[in-house]
Amino acid sequence: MGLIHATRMQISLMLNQLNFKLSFTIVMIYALLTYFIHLISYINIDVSVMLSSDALFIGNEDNPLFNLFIKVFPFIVVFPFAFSNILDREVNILPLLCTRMTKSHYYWSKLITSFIGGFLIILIPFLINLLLLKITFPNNNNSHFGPYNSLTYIQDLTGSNVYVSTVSTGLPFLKLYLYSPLLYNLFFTIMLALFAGILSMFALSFSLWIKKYKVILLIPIFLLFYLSDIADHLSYNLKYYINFRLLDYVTINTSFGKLPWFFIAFCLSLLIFSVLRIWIAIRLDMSKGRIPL
Amino acid sequence: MINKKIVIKLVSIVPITILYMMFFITSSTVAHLPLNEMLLNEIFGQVSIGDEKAIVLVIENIYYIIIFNLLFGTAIYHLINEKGIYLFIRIKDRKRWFYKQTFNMLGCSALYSGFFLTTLTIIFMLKTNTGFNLLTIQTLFILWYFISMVLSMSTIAINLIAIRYGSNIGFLLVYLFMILQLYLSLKFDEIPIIGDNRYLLMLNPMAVITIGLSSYTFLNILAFINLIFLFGCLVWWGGQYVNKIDIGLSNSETR
Repeated sequence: MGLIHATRMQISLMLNQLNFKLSFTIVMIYALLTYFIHLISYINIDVSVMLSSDALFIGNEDNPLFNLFIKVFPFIVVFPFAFSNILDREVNILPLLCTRMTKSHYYWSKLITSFIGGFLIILIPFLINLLLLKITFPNNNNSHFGPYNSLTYIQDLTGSNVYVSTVSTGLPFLKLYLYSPLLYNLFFTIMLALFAGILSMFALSFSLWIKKYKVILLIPIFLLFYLSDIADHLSYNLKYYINFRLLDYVTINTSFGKLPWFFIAFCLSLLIFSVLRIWIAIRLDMSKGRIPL
Repeated sequence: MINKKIVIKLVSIVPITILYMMFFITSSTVAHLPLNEMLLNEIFGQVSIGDEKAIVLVIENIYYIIIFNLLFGTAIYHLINEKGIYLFIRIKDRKRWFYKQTFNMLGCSALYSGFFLTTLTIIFMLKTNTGFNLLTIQTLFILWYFISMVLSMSTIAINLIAIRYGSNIGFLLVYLFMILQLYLSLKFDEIPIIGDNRYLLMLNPMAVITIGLSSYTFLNILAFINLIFLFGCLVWWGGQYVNKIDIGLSNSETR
């Protein structure tokens, strides 16, 4: 059984598991609920003062339920497939799977599927929300930044209203936003989905250490987010403020001080950690000449 | 039955709280707020409903609830999952066994919240120049009662959901439920039609204690009774559920 077949089998397993269904449902509820809140809040309001469909997108921090979403996000990304290795060990199915598809295929397919799971639970609901908004709301120039080309609009976009010394100001990928807010939304949706996928992979690789009490698996990613918040608070005392809040880099917001290299390095380190952990697990198991149980 | 493992779990909140409050401890500023207000500000946020103010837990500061849930969220579940068959062929009344477990849980949550509040009080006493008075004792008692009840209810709920769907799903669902309740508490006055009715806010266990801590009002008493009622309902339903489950079939974690 090749790696592709093994991955297909794992994807099929994931799609039928309650964990994936639950996390997907939660994000879908968030997407649909936000849409309905917008619908209700714009009843009997003139179309000329409605916000643009692009501004009402759920990836935007000004949405009514966005704060709820960021509180739940560190837990949701663990759910799609990260628990699967622990489950396989608990039901003693691991030797059977490894003999059918080899250990390396088993572990790599788990890692790939985990990434796909995290990616899908964000991508599909967010795209559905974008589609519904595009169908329902006007495509005008009323954005959260204020009316088009007004002073507040320019200040928010260029970051000239920021009073703290920062490493960078203004809206990231400003040219893309000015070219098309829809493309900008799509770009950040894919970024968030990729980030969720990487976190999901990280959780899976971490799960190889956990023998019992799988709830512990919820802690590492929660801790990552918590520590990044602490780093962000500390950063105010630096000469130049750096934004360490992880979700600020993959959602649409006007927060300043973003350092793209920090985020890229962070994601790469998670990726390398996950790959190394899996590689070491395969090597260790092989060197011991036994299947891990 | 308290053993060494449980004691370590209960005391673990002390170093965690110290770490969490490290910024406050290391800062050079001395607070001039009364001790009871500092405690309330640390643990709760305020919601205005007309002239009245109600206090609710703040999402940012529920770390002690999450830790307790992680530590004890699978205690009853593991007993049923791993030892259920051996236990229930000897124990005639499963309901009574479950009630006993829930009261053990209540005891653990009371001790845990006691440790948590004592640590917070000591930290605040070091950083404030106001003294320890009757109002502080009253506030501490109310906070202790409130936190103990919320901790035990959330943990029992996780255990019950874990029996059916697994511990991870139990934790996620209860956490989601708590976050939603906190959100609804904070946005209560913005909800159309029911937003002005403070009695409805009392139905939300995350927002049950009114700010009038110095004098007992009808709402205070209602809130206290409401928590006991919710706890009673949960324990009663849990007893019914545990009584009916087929222990021979279940290992819900690996379903």
